[in-house]
Amino acid sequence: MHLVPGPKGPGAGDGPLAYLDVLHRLARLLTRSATDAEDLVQETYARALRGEAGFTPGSDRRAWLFRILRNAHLDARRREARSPIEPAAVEELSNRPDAAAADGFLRGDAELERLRRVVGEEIEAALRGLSEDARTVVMLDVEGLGEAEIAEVMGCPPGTVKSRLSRARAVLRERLADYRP
Amino acid sequence: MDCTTVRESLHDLRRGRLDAVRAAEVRVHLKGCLGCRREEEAEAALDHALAERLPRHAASAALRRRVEELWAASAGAGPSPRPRSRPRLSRIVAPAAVAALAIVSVGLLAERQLRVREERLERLADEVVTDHLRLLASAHPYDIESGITHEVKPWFEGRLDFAPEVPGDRGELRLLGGAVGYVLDRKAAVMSYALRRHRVTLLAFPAAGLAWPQANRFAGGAPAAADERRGFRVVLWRAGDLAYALVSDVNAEDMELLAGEIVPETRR
Repeated sequence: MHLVPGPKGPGAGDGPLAYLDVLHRLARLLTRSATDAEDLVQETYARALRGEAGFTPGSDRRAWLFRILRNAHLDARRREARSPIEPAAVEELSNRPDAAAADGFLRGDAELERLRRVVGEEIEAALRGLSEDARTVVMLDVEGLGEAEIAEVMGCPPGTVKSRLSRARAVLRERLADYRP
Repeated sequence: MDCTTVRESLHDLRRGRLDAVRAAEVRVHLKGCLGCRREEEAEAALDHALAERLPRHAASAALRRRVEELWAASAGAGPSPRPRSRPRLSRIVAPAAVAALAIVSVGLLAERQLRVREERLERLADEVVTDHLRLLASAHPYDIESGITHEVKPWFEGRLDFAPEVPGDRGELRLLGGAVGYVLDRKAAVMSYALRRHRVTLLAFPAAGLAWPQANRFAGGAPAAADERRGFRVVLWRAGDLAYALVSDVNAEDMELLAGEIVPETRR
């Protein structure tokens, strides 16, 4: 059995573990503990091996695996109902003024200097403060996926990805610039 | 091209998704517009922070092994594989299985405890490696630049609510200076050293309330937890109510020698 039929896509020809670390990184930011993250990644591979969310030959296998991971995470959240999906957080984000167009948002040197000095813990905390959708979009962008690929993972139009990413990055900048240990 | 259009295009410009004509237009605008240039610098700084400073939690060896097993199990085209970890109690109802379940539960509990300990070590090691990398990247890594212990140690007074030990030069190890930094949620004394062409960072911070990893070796006669993260070696140990972390890219032998010298200095 092959994880993904066909040789195309980034990482083609690599073994089953080629995307393990990138999947694990996203899982760590979606879940609350390293243990939950590991279970999520393992479930992702199990679903991939069962051929869920059918892979389209020639498409990006990494995006396909991310989609499975996201679906597995949402299923787990619904099943356990220990923490509801966060429509409120998404709405809060979507109601924020678009930073790209907001003249007052840029704080000049102070923000820039602060951004250049932030440490990993602060960035992780700021990311966890975003809605899950926003967090996922930011992380997929960091991992190098394009808007079309992210849209495939998220199940939304590319235009929605663009606006979500823009707003999420604006909120991140704002929070990191405000962060005071 | 107006500022709004340019700012909406900055992300695509950095990702190389603009065609040549549009990219040139954006660059021309950036040259003449300070506001948009600052916006671009801030966005680039955020990119750098996300790409370089966000802890990149690599999959553990245990997870790697489990996925490999999953893969191997599927190779024979047998029944659809299912994750083998954490079976749900509700699925296990046969009375005859109760005794077996008790035995399995002990095993699962032990495995989970092991994973929790691994998680603590990974979290701390990731954090201190990130601090070390920040120092390496910083144009001004020291708040006090001095190779003299009796200058660096007193400098921390009034800046920290604890008094760290500051080991001085020994052998090829040279003290370069000190600074105040952060480890997780608390202030830390940051001491920088050079060992030949390698940089070595020693962090000291209060241990209270930290989920401390279990020791997996001895260093300088004290129990310590050692790990490798992103090519850097990390040794963590406690001395009284302080925790210390040693980070460097030196080889395993040098790291062991370093820890053997420095750990006793912090436990006097």
